[in-house]
Amino acid sequence: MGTRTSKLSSIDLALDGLEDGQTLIIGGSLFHNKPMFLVREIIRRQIKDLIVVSVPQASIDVDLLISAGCVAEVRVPYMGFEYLGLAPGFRKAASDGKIRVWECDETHILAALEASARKLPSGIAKAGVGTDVHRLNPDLKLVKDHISGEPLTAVAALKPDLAIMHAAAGDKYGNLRYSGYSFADLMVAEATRQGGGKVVASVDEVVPNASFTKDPFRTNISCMLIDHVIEAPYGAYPCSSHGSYQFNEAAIVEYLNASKTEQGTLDYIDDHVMSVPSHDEYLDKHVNLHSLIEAKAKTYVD
Amino acid sequence: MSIESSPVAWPELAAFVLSKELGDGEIGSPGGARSEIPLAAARLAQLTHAPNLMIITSAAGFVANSVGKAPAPLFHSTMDYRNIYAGTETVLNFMSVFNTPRDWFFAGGLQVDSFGNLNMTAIGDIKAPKLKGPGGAGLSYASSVARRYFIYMQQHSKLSFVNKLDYVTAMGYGSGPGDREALGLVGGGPALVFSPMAAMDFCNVTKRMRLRSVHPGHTVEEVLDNTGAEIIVPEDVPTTALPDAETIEILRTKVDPSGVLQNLKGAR
Repeated sequence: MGTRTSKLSSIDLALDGLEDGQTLIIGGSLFHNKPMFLVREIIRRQIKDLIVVSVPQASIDVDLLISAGCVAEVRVPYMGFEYLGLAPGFRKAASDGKIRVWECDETHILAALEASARKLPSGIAKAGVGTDVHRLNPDLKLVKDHISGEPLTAVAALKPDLAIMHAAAGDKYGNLRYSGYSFADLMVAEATRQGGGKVVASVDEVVPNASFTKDPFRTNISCMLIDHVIEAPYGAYPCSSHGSYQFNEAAIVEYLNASKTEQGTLDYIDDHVMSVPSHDEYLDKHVNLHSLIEAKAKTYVD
Repeated sequence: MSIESSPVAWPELAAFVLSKELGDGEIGSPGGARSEIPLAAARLAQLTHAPNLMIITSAAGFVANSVGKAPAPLFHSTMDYRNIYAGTETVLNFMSVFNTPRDWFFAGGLQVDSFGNLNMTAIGDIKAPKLKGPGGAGLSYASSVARRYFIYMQQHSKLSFVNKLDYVTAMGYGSGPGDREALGLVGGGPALVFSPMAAMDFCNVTKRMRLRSVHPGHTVEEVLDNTGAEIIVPEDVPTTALPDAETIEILRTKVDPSGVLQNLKGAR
């Protein structure tokens, strides 16, 4: 009898093949379930001209990639920090003409991902009808429905080269379990896998396969869709691993404040990314035990 | 008496006024960059006149009803995991969030025009915008399908209430009656706009924005001086009614026990 292959991977193996100009899709939403340690590693590798996709929302993950000069095009329906404000790196780069912004609605990206997942050439959405989005983004086509003649938006299937996502727990085969919401991660994995790309999941904890077989109804994403699993405790920090630990608001505000000046941005990237070659070193330098205990405790309400 | 010196902060007044718009048995989603305001509005409605109202926090699929449950804190973000403690009964699959009916949702915007069209894209030339907005989020989708929706603007100025948007991100009534129907937009369009100064609805016939009430401490003249959009001003514009003591009590002890709304930036 053969042995089942483990997908536990090093960062080097997981990011092998990631090249300038490729399409990267990031799971999670806003500042939740963002695989931040992989984002930092991509910056350290100085990958350039990425097309970065995230749905429905991105914040520090994509903003940091933009500020670090890794991004040519942004495909994110909402780029911002919600109640904490707008995205500084994104705003500046868009105003300076340094990035292309692929204007869109959530349902445009989802239709494009769904098309990839089902191996269709394109998807449709009602969103965009009556708006300026077709003029701003020529990839979104205003079309007439073949059956009713009703105006709709068509969008080509989106096939990312690489998907990165973060879950609370996974086994060595790639089954994933989330403590809280998994957002669009399943769709992201399906679209990437079916489109021929690679899916990398980081997890706070690698758990035994038996942890999944004893309650398969609680498995969120099947190992069939996952190529690599990397164990990275607090790998989403300073974002949340939804339901396992809260995002660190002060650490996110620290980024926002640093981003007010060009020098501040450079210093932040140096301090939080370039000067810490590994996740362990990042944790040693920027995270103290107290803040982790607090991040965990904050998932409860008395 | 102005709101500044009145017993309620404007985000609380917003939550109160908006709660009265929400009907019993409806399904809706709080949203926008200050989602704690519509979230509070929906919970207040559940605890007053709409016990069968269901809230879907769109971004995280939480389906909640607060009736008969212990008070939970109000958090700034509808995506905050801790909202599971605020009466959440179901968590929708991500795609189900888009496949479930909506009687209403809430939206914000950089600019709104006289017909309730919204700009979230940018101010200025798109190639080098003065202000790059966060993007369309799901506004175009939601505004095309929801039975109606509410717009809340954090600022009331000539820059935010304009006659012509720099970019249309989500269509309200287009350029007037019949535009939505012609494009097959099945949702009913915007119903109410709330700002720190006033509440505005839309004329049934012309679909143009109409001043409905002015908040205590503000005047019709002041509203018009700060509105760049052409809006209908009826002969009599009432003062926005404040919540009664009982409603304030529910708002402050059951909906927002930690005073998040009172302490929002610019709340007073």
